[in-house]
Amino acid sequence: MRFNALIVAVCLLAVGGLVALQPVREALGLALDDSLQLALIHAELAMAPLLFLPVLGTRHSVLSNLTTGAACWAAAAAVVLLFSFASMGDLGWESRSLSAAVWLACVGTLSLAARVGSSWVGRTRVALLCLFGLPPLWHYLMLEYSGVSGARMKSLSPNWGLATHELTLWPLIALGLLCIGVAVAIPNRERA
Amino acid sequence: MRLLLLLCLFGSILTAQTIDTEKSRFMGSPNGRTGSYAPFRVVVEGLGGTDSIILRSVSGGVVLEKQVAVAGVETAEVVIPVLVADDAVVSVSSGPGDALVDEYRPKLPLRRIEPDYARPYVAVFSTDPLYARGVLPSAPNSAICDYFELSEFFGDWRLLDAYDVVVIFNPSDLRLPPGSQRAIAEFCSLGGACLIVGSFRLGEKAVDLPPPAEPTIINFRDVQAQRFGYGPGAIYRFGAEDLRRSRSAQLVLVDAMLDHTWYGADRAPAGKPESRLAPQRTPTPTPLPPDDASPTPFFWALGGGLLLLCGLVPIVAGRISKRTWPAQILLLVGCSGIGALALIQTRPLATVEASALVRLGEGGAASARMFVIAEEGWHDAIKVKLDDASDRSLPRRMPSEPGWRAWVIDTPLVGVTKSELESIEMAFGMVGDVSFRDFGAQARRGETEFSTSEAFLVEWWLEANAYRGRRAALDPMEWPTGLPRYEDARFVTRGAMGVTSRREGG
Repeated sequence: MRFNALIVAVCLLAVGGLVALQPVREALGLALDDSLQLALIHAELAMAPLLFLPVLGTRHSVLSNLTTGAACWAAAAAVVLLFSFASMGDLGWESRSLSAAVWLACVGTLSLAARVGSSWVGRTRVALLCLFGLPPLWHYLMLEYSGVSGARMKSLSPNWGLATHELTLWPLIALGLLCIGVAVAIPNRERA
Repeated sequence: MRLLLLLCLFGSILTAQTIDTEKSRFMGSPNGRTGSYAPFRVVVEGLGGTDSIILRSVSGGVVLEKQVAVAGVETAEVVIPVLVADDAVVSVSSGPGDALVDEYRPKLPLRRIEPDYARPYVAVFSTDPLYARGVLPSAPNSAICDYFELSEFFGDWRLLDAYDVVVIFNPSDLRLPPGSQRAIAEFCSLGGACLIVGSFRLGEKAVDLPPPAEPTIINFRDVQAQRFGYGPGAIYRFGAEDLRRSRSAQLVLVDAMLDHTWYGADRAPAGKPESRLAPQRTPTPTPLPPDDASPTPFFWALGGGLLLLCGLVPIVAGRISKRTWPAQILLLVGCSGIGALALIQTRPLATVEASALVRLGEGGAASARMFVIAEEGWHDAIKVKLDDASDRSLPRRMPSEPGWRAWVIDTPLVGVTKSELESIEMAFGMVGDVSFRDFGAQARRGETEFSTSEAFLVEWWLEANAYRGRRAALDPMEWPTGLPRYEDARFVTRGAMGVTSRREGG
């Protein structure tokens, strides 16, 4: 997708602009300070599976998806860092490694799905959204109904890790690299 | 090769400098007041080949720094104020890059001296410490004394921080070392008392200091003394011969000390005495909400540039090559560049809020205790250069709310302007016709001369001081001059309150 980075930049700028509007900001309990940038980083991490649009096709498309993913990551980073004007801290800069790991995981899994079949891309998106967003809910339900903690799932959920300052990058990097490896390993389909 | 030799030589010089841990000690040891700064003698050895060293007294959130010229000496002895606390560290740095050479965690004094109305903690300076020890012995039920040579009188009030009273025995008309006049004035402006037995010859002339009030004559056990009020503090002067002829010089001197600390009353006020120790609760009001940051033209330019870049690069690259990856690589580089430029945008400054308690009294001298809270993004520690004559402040860390750091900063001899509003008299726990607690509540509601921000300070001070034996006038004040300001932060002053303690009998 040639304009994937543009889509990422437009979407995140729109989110940033929306959150900066006074009624929205007050409703969310945010101010024009570090909290605005933090909200944008959470949005970036949560939206990465939706915003990345993989190219379907042969092994060569995996390389193309990788470079597109890198461009998307850089565009998202530029938007997040643009909102540093309101921030005293260096959270925008410090969260870039986590963001890179998330984009790598999205690129890897969605590229693999794109190699398998177009219908799998949507399913993978839903799975990624559940994986990134829902572990806190699973943790709560597990605690509530079986008294077992699901805090180990924190390493899978970047938003949860960011909120609790316990970032674990290796599961996301491992997932991304593994999926890219498998996507490259799948042989091209012979033309009939 | 020469460079290598020079480096080796330089390295050997650096490693040779050490703090002599046997000779370095608190000068008042075994006495010490926990939470206050006490004079600490640092002995640094192996200084050959070094021109200057920097000594640092580091304790949680505060760094006191002193530069010492050591050219041509092997060993240097320097006295610096060190906090009597577990986390206090003394360090030595030297050479290019201010490299840390050695550091030492001082052994704390064994005997803790708490602030007490009945037992003032006294620094005694005398040409003959043995004589001073005989005249004014250190006794656990009267005055607790540390003894020093008169020639080593401290030229910096921060070395006298722990003491309630300073006694100077100078019957032989010796000239005090340079800096002592300012140190005495600053110590007294912070509420301390200075007792001088004999002559009061100072080492310096024409120092720009506020004059003391007109002297009053007071008799202590038939010994006449002149009392010069100096802001919240005072200077008492005794004739050496008069004191020698008295039946008990010790009782006379202790009476004079208690005359000051008990505000001229016959018995001690209730509660704990005011001291320079950091309080456990900061009396600053709830922090103001932060100012909204607004995007600069640079933000809009970078945002527009990002959209143009992401839109145009794929189109232009598509005309040149059918492959997509070169365009994506270009986008990666371009967006990273915009991200890097975004990092140099002007950022909002951390907020530092301050309230000041100004201590006034007789004469024109006054001092201030500034309560500072700073957002955690600001510095971890406040640094004070002890050599800087324009900054005589002394910070101390105090407990704070989460997300904030708090300090209390004592500054002597500040410039004050009283507000046009009238003073309020506090006596017998009553402020005017209402109890001090009701007055505090009224101040919170904005029904008094004080603003609702100053009400926190008013309430806090009344709660600590409104008990038996305390009478005082409270004044709304303009922000005093001479207090530290922090240019690298959004410095917000939240109000100042003046306190003039009244003595019994006027």
